[in-house]
Amino acid sequence: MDSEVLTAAYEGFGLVFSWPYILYPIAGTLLAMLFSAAPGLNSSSLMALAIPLTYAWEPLPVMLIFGAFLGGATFMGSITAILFNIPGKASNAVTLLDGYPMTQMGRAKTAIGSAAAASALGSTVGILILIALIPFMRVAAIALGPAEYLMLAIWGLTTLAALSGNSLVKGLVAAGIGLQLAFIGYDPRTAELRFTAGMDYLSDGLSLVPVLLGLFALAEVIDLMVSGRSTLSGRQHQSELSGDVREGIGAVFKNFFLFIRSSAIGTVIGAIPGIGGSVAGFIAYGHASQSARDNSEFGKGDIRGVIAPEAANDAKDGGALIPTLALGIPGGSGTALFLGAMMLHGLTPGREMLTDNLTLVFALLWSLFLSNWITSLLGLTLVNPMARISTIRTGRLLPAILVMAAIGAVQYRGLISDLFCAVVFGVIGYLMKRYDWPRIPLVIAFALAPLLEINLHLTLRLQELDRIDFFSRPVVLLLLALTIINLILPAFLGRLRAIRRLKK
Amino acid sequence: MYLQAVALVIALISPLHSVQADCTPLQGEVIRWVVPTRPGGGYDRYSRLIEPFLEQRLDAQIAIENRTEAGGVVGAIAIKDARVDGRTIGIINASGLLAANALLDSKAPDPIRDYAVLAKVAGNHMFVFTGSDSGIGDIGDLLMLAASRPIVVGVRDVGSASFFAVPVTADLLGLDYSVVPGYVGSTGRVLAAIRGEIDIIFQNFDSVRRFVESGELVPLLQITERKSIHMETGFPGTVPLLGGQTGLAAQQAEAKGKSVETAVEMAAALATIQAAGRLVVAPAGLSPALEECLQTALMETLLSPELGAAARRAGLSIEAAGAAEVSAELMASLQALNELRQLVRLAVERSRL
Amino acid sequence: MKLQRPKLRNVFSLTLAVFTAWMLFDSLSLSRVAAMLPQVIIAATLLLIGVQWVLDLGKRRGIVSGTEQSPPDQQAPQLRFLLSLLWIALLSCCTWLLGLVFGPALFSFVFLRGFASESWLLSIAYSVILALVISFIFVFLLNTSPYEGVLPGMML
Repeated sequence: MDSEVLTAAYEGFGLVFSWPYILYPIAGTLLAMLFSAAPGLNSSSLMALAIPLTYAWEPLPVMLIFGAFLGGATFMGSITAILFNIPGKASNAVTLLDGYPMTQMGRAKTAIGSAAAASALGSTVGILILIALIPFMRVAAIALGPAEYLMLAIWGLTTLAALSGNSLVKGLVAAGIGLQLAFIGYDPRTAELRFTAGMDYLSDGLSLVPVLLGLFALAEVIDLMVSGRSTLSGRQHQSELSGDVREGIGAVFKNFFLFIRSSAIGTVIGAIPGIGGSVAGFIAYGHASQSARDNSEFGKGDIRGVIAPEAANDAKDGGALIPTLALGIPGGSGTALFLGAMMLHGLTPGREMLTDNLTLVFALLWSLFLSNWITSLLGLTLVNPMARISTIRTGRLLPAILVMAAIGAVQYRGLISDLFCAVVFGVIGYLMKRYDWPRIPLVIAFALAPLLEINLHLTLRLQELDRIDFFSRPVVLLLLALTIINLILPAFLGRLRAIRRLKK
Repeated sequence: MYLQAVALVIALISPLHSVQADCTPLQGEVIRWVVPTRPGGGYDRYSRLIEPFLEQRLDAQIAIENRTEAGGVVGAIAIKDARVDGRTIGIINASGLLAANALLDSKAPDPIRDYAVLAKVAGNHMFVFTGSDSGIGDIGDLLMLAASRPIVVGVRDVGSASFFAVPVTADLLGLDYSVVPGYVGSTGRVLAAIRGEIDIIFQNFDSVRRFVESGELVPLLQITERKSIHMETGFPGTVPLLGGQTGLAAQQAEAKGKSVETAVEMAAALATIQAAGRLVVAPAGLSPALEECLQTALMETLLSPELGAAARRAGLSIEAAGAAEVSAELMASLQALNELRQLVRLAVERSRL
Repeated sequence: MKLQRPKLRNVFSLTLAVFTAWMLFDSLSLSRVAAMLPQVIIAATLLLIGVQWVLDLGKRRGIVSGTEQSPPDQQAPQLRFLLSLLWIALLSCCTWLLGLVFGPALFSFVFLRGFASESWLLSIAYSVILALVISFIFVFLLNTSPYEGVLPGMML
């Protein structure tokens, strides 16, 4: 590795772990954890609050505290996803697919332990990949154009095949519905209103947060009330809970190559601006399910279904910094606010950032690394009291869960109508669960639709003008190959599994 | 310095301390500030720059909300349709909205009729840029290339400042062009130009300064009659002007045997529309007291030395103007638009795929 | 009850189809650019819904292998489903009318007494603590006002 990079890494490390600068990542992490644990709050609102308060600060403390904000937020959302089926952020939604069933089986501690380990280690992998890519950051970020984004969206959609459970057709229908729901509102090109049925509320389009809260949190609440389950885990006392934290942590190492692949997926997806970090976890989950020899337990409490999205979600933070630092293109809303804060302090992303300010960049990365580990370690210390929640009587727990979901829905945009929207999707989500319609393909498609539509129009126009040749672009061809593999692999693996079963 | 970290923690978990302000109805309230671009973009940075200083003056809290759909039109509509209680304001691209509203059948609000103008933050300093690897070194190269094939221009969409500048400029220079609409955000267009998938972009200088300074983007033409403030600060190179008696529009008209006077007037009209710039507005129908309160607070903020210093650090130019001056500029812009109406309408039809 | 379950399942599928068909009809009034991708997706979705119906029909008649699977806890009566909707509707109404502090507090009290049959003391304490926590988050932590509800505004 370049000696300049190593020197900057060493100097950055020295800055972060020195007094008094160490206080910034610690304070930032604690604030981020507090904000992500509270319903209706998230790290973006924390950063928005912090920007004006840090105007007078020097650049280094700004980098340290915002790095901690970025790193400290994701894991707490995973805990609510595992325990209550409420995703703290959109990116935590896929963790609940297997995390919540594990809670229902009394294995919440295992799930949380696994999530903590995968988070901390995943973020470390993301940062290492980011460091390795520093010399190539700008070239890599510039090279991706509308054709690449279009193929990325299509490839992302084909992972739905792995997430459709027993029925591919139902999964594809759910994805189609998800795309249709994303079309509601203003057309991104012409500002025409589409599919609003004259309702003002729908002119802004549907928002991902109330849709998620409805499809998962409220749907599960309905399911709990219908099923009459006495506690989340079906157990009355903590002593009846099986599994433990060490088992969860150990599972990450037992599935180490899956963890590495998921972290790589998260870093790459996070590095692509505009695609949305929430997609990283979905795609990693889909990959985990597709590549597993036996994927029959996915969606029913398979630990790999927690490891893969958690590793990807935290690795993406490192990835999202690649376009942010290299070009000033934010990878998501969190990095967008971080970018704003950076530029308001006179730190310009681009070549200057990666050459003259490389020590500052490494200070940021070390702060991100530290905050991820602090979050996971602190989270682990809270495992027992958190796991106890799964033994509380449903009747006492449901008001808190419902209120958390309501606050999350209303406060996202400050609209009471978002609560009603969440309720509607709660009913839809319950019926989908009851009649075996998978929900995750709907959510993935909903998240990917804007990327798909905008870049489809751009690609077609550029192709029409002979400005690009779609089939001669290396990244496009790579993604096309991956897409085809995604489409044929499930059938191929299914056949292989059937043959193995027959042989047994 | 560690005290700063503690102070931040305390500040974030403590109620804001009141600062004496004139705007009593807004004291202690949350004011929604709508930004029609994504976080990190030019409008967003201006908004976040102004936010803390305005909060102090109003003794209120400002919550910034990004609404990016349809080229910022949705954000503009959100401001227009908000309750008229002083608790929703926002920043708009007046030039783009004027054009979209006056010339097209779009849903874009009318900056003159649908808003109470509070202040102007900055004008649009539009330049034509190309990627450094495009093979186009200056405006002469562009004109030669245009003689052999249509120039490919990347734009955002309806409501963007560049949307109407493209057909007018192309007409003045005698360029044949093709439009690629749909790029979201200025950086998307810049990267497209750097990659070479489009030939040129029309862009506000501040938004792409860092790419110009790094040499990846080359300015070809200034869409104005007078040298931009960015050129006056000693920016390297000489970039020709479109407007003025000796500008490129006049030169091209003379070379092609067209009316120089008409060309100069059209270029002047285009420059006037650009001057409308980035405005802070509230929905129309605001009470006179609230309107005066917000206008005063904003002007004090924009003219404050602290904001000026912060803006310089962030690489942003503040060109503050009061509501009266802005209203006059908007009327002048509307007049100018009427002169360009036919031209832009034809261009819109042409760009619809 | 056994006869009703397939009916609801079909109603749900039919609802998806009707929604999709409506979108197709609505897209006819859009410009070419705005309608292009939606029409392709909608058409594909309608086709797939048709395929799923055929598969479901085949399963019911034993032509296609596999059974219509239901998770084990789906045997609960439909009354509980309706009741759960009523409780959620109550939360929505309380929040809409009384805001994000008092609405959830009132709902919690009624739910704990009505659904969970908890004691008066626990129900009141729970609701009060919930209101205090929500107030702390918004008023003290964020220095912002949570959604206030329509009733206080009307009364003022």
